Amino acid sequence: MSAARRVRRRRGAGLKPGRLTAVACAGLLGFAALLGRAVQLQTLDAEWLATRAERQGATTLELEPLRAELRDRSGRPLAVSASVESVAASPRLIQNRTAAARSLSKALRLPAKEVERRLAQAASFVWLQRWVTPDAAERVRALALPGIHLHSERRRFYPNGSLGGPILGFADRDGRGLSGVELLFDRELRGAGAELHMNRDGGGRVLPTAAGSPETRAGQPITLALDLELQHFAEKALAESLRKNGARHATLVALDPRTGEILALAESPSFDPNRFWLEDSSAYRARAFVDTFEPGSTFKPFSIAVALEAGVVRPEEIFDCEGGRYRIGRRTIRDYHPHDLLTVSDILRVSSNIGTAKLTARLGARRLVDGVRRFGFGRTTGSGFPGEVPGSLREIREKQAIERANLSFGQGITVTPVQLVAAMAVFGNGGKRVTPRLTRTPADTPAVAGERVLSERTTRIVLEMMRRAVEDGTGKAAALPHVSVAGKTGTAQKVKDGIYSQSDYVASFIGIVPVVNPRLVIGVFIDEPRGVRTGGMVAAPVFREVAGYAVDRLGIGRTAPAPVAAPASSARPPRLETQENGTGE
Amino acid sequence: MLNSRLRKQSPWFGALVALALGVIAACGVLVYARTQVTSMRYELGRRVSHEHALSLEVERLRVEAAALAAPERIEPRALELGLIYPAPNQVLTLSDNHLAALHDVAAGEPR
Repeated sequence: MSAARRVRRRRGAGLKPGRLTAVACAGLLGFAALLGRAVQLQTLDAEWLATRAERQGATTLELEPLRAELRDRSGRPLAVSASVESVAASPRLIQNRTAAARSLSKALRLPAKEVERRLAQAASFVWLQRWVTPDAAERVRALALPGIHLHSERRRFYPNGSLGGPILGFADRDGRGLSGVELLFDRELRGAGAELHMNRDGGGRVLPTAAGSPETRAGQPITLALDLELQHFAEKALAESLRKNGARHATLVALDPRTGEILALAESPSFDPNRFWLEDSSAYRARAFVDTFEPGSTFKPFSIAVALEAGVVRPEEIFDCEGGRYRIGRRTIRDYHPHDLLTVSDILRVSSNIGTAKLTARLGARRLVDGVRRFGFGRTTGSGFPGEVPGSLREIREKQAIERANLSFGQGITVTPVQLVAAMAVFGNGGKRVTPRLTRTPADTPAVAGERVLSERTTRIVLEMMRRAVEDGTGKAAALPHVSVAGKTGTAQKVKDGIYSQSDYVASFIGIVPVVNPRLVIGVFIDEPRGVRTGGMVAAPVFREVAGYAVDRLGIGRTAPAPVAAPASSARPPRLETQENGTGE
Repeated sequence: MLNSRLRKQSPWFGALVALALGVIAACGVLVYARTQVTSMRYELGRRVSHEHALSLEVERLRVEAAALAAPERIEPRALELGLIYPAPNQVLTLSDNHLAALHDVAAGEPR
C-alpha cells in the first residue's frame, strides 16, 4: 500500500466529530432511559409492584396449635405431641385400583380387600390410614402411586401406655382434650394457632419473610404432681391384688397431706389413651373422682374425731359394746367381732360399730353431720377434675337415731376415694384441710393455709388411735418394719337394688406415714373382692407394699446419721451407719 | 489520537464517558447485590425447611426416648438382668449434710 493511500484511508476512517457526538448522545439517552425506568421501578412504582408480587407469591400457612407436654413431677413426659403422617387417596386419580390396593395393603399391613373397598369409594378424598408409622409412610412414599398422598398430622402420644390412663385422659385427633387432665388443662395445653406468612417463587420454592413465628403457637407444659415411678409401682400392686382377689376394680390414691399434691392415682384395670378409640367409654372414667361408695369403717376416725373435738367423750372413756349386738329402735347393729367394754381408742382399734354409734349418740345427729361436713364430705374437693362428684351427705334429724348411728360407721353416706383420702389428710396436716392438687406445687410456694377442721390435740389423739389400729388392730397387715403407720381399715357392703348386698363389698384401707410429721396418705380401695374380703386382709397388704416403696422413694424412710466431722487430713467419704437410728419421724 | 481529537473537539465527552461507566458499575453492583439477596433468601428458605424437618425428627425421637424409658418397659428388663427392688431395711436416705460432705470429698476438699 502506498503512503498516499494510507493517508487517504486514515482520513476516510476518521469519524466526523458530529456523528460521533450523535452516537454518544444516543447511547447516553439509552442509558438515561434505562436508568429512569430503573428508578421508576425501584422507587415510584416500588410499593405497587411489591404488593402485586406479594399477592402473586405470598402464601399463608395455617399452623395448628402445638399441644404442650404433660410431665410428671420430675419433668418426665407423660403426654407429648409429634407430627406423624397419614395416608389418603384420591380414588378418581387411580387407574388400576386392584393393583394399587395390593401394593398399599403390603405397605400399610392392611387387608387388600379393605384397601380396595376404600379406593372404590366415589369420593374425591378418602383416608386410607391415619397416623402411620414412619416406616409405613416411607414404604408408601416409595410406591409413588398417583392419587395417593401423605399428609402430616399432629398426634398425641402417651409414652407410658396405660400408666395413669384414666387420670391423664386423652386428646382427640384434632388436639382437643376430651377427658382427664387433658380436658382439665385443655386451654393451657392447646396454645393458640398461628399463621406463617411465606413467599413462593415461580418454581414454588419457599422464601421466608420476617413476619410470622411458629414459636408462638405452642401451649404451656403442665407439670403434674404425679410421680411416674410411684404410679407404676402402685398400678402394678393393684393389678396383682386384682388378680389375686378376683376383684372387679381397684383404686389407689397417694397424697401429700402438707400440700394436697396427688403423687399417685392408680386404677386397675386402666386403659391405654394411645388407643382410646378402641376402648369402651366406661374405661376412661377416673373412678377415684367420679365413683362413689359407702366408706364403712374408714369413716369411724372422722366420727370419733368430731366427738372428741366437741368434748363429749374422752379417749380413755369406756363404752359397753354389748357383746356384738345392739338394738336401736327396731334395728340391730352388729360388730364383726363381739366385744364388751372398750375404750374409745379400742373402739377404733377393733373397729366396733356399736362403740362408734354409742359415742356419737352423745353428739346428736346435727353436730355429727356438721362435724363430718367440715372434712369436705358432701361436696367436691376443689381439685377441678372434670366430672368430679360431691358424694352425698344427707341431713339427719335428731330423732333419726338409726340413721345417725349408721352415719357414724360410714353407712348412709357416699364418698369418692379422693374425697376420703383428702379428708384423712386432715389428720396428717395438723388438723387442717388441704385441697387435692393435680399439679406440682412450685418449690417457692408458701405453705398452704388450709381451713382448720380439728385442733392439733384432737388430731394427735386420733392419729395415735389409728397407729394402734395398725400396730395391734384390724390394720396389722399394713404395718411397715421401718416406719410407723397410722390407718384404718374398711369393709363396706355395697348397696345393690336398694339393699345392702351380702356378697359384694368394698374393701379399703387408708394409712398415714410416718405418724410424726406425716408425709403421705395412701388410700387403697378394692371393689368386690372374692373369697377373703375384709379391708385388713385385702387392701392393707397393698398399702404396705406401696407405702414401703414410697417412703424409700420419697426419702421419708430411714435416714443416715449426720456425718461426723473428720480430721482435715482425712479424705474418706463419710461412712453410712446402718443402725436403726430412726424412722424419719 | 482519536481521543485527543475528540477531547479537543468535545471537552465534556470524557465526563460523559466517566458518567456512563459509573452508571454501568452502579448497575452491576445493584444487580450483584440483589442476586446475592435472592440467593440468600433461597438458602434461608432451605435452612428453615431443614430446621423444621429436624424439629419434627426431634419430636419423634423424644417420643421414642420417653417410650423407651417407660417404667413398664425398664422394669422387666431390669428383672431379667437380675436386679431386684431393695428391701425396706436396705434403703437409707442421705441427709443434706451427707450430700455436702460427699460433694466436698469429690471436689478434693476434705472436711
